[in-house]
Amino acid sequence: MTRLIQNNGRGNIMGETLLQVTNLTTRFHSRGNLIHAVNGVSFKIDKGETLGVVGESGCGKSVTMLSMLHLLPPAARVVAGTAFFHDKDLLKLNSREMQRIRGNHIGMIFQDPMTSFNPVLTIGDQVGESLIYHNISNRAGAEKRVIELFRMVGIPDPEARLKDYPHQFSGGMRQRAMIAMALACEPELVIADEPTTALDVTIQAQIVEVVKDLRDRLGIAIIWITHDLSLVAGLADRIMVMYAGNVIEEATTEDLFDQPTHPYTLGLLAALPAFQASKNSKRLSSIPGSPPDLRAEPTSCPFLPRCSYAINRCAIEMPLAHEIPGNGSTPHSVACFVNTQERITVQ
Amino acid sequence: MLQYILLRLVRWIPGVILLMFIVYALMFFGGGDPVQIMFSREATDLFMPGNPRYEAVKEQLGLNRPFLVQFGDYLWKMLHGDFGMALTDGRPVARTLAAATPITISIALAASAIIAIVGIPLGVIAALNQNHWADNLILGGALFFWGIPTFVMAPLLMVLFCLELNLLPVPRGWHGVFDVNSIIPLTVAALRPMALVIRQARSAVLDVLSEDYIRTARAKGLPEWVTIIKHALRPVLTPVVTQMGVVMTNLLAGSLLLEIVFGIPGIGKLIRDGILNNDYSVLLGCTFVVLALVTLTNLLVDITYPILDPRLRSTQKGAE
Ligand SMILES: Nc1ncnc2c1ncn2[C@@H]1O[C@H](COP(=O)(O)OP(=O)(O)O)[C@@H](O)[C@H]1O
Ligand SMILES: [Mg+2]
Repeated sequence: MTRLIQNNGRGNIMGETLLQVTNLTTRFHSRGNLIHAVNGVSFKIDKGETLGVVGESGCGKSVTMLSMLHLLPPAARVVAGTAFFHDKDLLKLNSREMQRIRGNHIGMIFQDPMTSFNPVLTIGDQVGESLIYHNISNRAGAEKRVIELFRMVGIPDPEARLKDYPHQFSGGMRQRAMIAMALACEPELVIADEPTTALDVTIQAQIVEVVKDLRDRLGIAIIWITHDLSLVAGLADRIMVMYAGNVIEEATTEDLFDQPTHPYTLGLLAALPAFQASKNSKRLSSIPGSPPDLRAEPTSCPFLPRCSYAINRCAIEMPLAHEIPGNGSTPHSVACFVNTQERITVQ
Repeated sequence: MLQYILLRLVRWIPGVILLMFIVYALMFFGGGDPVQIMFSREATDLFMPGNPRYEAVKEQLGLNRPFLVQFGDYLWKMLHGDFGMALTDGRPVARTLAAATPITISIALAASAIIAIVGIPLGVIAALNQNHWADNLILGGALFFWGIPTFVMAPLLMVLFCLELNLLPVPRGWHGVFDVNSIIPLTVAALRPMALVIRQARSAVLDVLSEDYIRTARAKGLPEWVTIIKHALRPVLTPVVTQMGVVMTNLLAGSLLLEIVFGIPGIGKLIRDGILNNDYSVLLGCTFVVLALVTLTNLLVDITYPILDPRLRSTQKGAE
C-alpha cells in the first residue's frame, strides 16, 4: 500500500473490494466441441485500483470479462462461479438488472475502435446515448456532457467533432471517443480490453497517458487487458497473468517484476526487450510452442508441453494457485508445483 | 448530387445506343421483311419483291437506305419522341408505349411495396428468432413459395380463390392497382421476389448483430429494443435497398409471364405481341422503355446509398 500512496496518492480510496470474482468457468459449444475457455478464474479488484490482465491471445482474458457482463456470444455459457460487484452477483442478474449496471456502473473499452463504433450514427450520439437511456440526462444535457468528455479525453474542437461519423475520426481519436463513451456515466469500474492493440506505438502511449490521467482524477478502478506486459508495468497496481483459461500468477506489479515465479510469466518477461538481460535463472527469448487445445478437460498443467521446469507431478495433477511470500501489500499467488526461484518442489 | 445524376445519365447513353443497335440489327437482318409483315393480311402476292407496288412502299418508307442510315434516322426520331409506326396496326408506337408503360410500372411499384412492407419485417423477425420455430416457419415458407414458378402459382391461386372459395373474381385485364382484380396478380408478382428479400433481410440482420458495435451498444446498457432498432436496423437498410433494386428491376423487365397469364396490357404483353407478329418497331420501343426504367431504378438505388451510409457521402473532414 505504501508504494501506491507514494506513487500516485490514490491509496486513500483503496482497500474496499469493488469486484470479487470466484471460480468463474465459461465454456463454448462449437461444432460439437466443448471449449474450456475459462476454467475457474478468481480475482478481485478494489475501488480505485488498476488491475492488469496479461496473457497470450486466446487465453481467455476477453471471455472472462464478457462473462461477467453477459456479453458473451450465443455459443458461450457461464457454467460456474460468482462475480460480486458490491453486494450483487453479476452472474445471477436478469437482463434488466444487468442493463442498469452496464455502461452505468461498469464501462467497457474495446480493442478495435473502428469496428466498435456504429458506422451510420454520429460519434456524439453514440458517446452520449448511455446518459439518456440510464436516465441521467436529456438529449441537450447529454450533448453538453459529450463536449465536456471530449475535452477530458483530448479531442480537439469538440463542438464540431460531435456531429462527425466514425470514419471521419482517426484511429487514435476514435479510441479517445471510446474512452469518453466508457466514462460518460461516471462508472466505478472500467474494463479496457486491449484498448491500444489496434493502434500504432506513439498513439498507444498517448492513450495510456489519457487513461492514467483520468484514473487519477476520477478515482475509477480499471481492469486493463493486454498481451504486452511492458504496457501495464507503469500502469497497473496489480497484475494477473492468465494462461489457457486459468490465472497462473498474480501479484503486485512490483512483486511480479521482482520475483516472477511461474515459468510462463518468466517466459513473458524474457520476451520483453528491457528484461533480455534479466537476473532470473533460465532465459527464454520467446516461449516455444503454442497455447493448448481447449477442447479437452484440463487435467494436468496446461503449460506443461511448453515448460522447461516441468516435473512428474505436472502431468498428473492440475496445479492450483497458492500463496508464496512476497513483499507487496497483497499476496503473491502462483499456480505451479515448482519454485522456479530455487528450483525446488514445494509441498 | 445533380452533377452526379447527370454524369450517370451521360454514361448511360452509350450502353443504350449499343443495345438498341443490337436489337435493331437482329430485327433488320433476321426479322423478316417489314413490308411483307405490314401487308401480310392483304393480297400478299402484290407485295412480293419485284412488284412495283412493293418497291414503291419500300422506297417511301426509306427501307432501301443503308442499314446505318436507317438506324441513325430511327435514333434521331426517337430523340423527338417518335418511335415510328407499328408494322401490324399502323398506330404510333409512342402512343402504344404510353398506354402500356404505366401499367407495368404500377404493378412493379405495388408489388415492391408489398414485398418491402411484408418481406423486410419477416426477415428481421426471422433473424431475431434465429433457429427457433418462427425463423423456421418464415424461412420454410419463403423457400416453398420460391420453389413455385409463376405459371404454376397463378392458376393455383385462381383455382383456390376464384373457383373453390369463391372469394375473388377471375382476374382479367387491368383496372388499376387498387382493384379487386389486381389482388391475385400482385400476389403472384410479389411472392417469389419476397422470398429473396426475406432471406436477404434475415442474413443482413444476422450479420449486423454479430458486429462489434452491437456488443458496444449492449455494453453501454442500452435497452435491447434500442440496440435492435437504432443500432442494428439502420445498417441493414443498405443491403436491403440493394436487394429491393434488383427486385424492382426484375419486376419491370420480367413482367412478360405475369402479363400474359393475366391478360394485362403492359410492356410484357407488348413484347410478346411484338415477337409473335415480327413487329420490330414495337419491340425496339419496348427495349428502350425497359432499359430506361431499369436505369432509373438503379439510379434511385445509387442516390439512396449516401443517404443511408454516411461513409459514402463525399464531404470528408480531415483526420488528425
Ligand atoms: N466465438 C467463439 N467460439 C468458440 N470459441 C471461442 C469463441 N470466442 C472465444 N473462444 C475460445 O475462448 C478462448 C479465449 O478467448 P478470448 O477470451 O477471446 O481470448 P483473449 O485472451 O485473447 O481475449 C479462445 O482460445 C477460444 O478457444
Ligand atoms: Mg481478447
